[in-house]
Amino acid sequence: MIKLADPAAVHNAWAVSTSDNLEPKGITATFGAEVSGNFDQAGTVLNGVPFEQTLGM
Amino acid sequence: MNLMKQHAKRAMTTRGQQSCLVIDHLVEALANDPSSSLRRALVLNYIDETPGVTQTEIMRALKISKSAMNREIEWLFNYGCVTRQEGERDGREIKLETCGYSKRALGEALDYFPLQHKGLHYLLNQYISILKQDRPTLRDARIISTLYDKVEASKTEIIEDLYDGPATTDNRAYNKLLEDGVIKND
Repeated sequence: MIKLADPAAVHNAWAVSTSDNLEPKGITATFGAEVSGNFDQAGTVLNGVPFEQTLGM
Repeated sequence: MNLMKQHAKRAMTTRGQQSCLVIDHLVEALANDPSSSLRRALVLNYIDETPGVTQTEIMRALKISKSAMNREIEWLFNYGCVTRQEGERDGREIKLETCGYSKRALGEALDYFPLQHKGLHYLLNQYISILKQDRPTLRDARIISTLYDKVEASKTEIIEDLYDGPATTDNRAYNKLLEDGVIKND
């Protein structure tokens, strides 16, 4: 079966683009930090902030 | 009324389904041509957001070269997606606007984005980055939207969900995404 190599990236793209705010805010984690917390179903968006941005990427 | 329609469309579909529908509307807005690039969709979206915008202004805003911009505008005009009108003060200045079937289909796509054009602009740029190609097309975008919706699918299912284009073109697009590591065989 075929899958997306990076489903989180696609999910982020949709989650952010269909939100009311395209500007990331509340970035607290730093690059390399272990990330845990309240992710949504795909485990990628925390409080409207794309997963990559929570990592400071 | 329009706002109610937008809410209803968003509520009745999952995000995965929406991702497929938006790409389908964009294909429709671009003369039913899934080989249209995401950049072309960006240009159409920008013109729709800024009626009366000039080619130079789009070039600056979207950072597109003059030659590429000329090609996109010619294509959009030839396929009836935009109108061109001479500026009142300067006849050399051509003002662009979306029109007809293209404007309607783009409007259907925009219904899924609370921030309308800005949301779609963000999405298209993200897809361009995810697709890792010089000139990703709406066909490529539909493949990843299909997989986002279904989570996993066979090659046959993916190809069947595409548009009625030549099988060789669909296969080439599929193989390129596999080769580039955008999709993977598990």
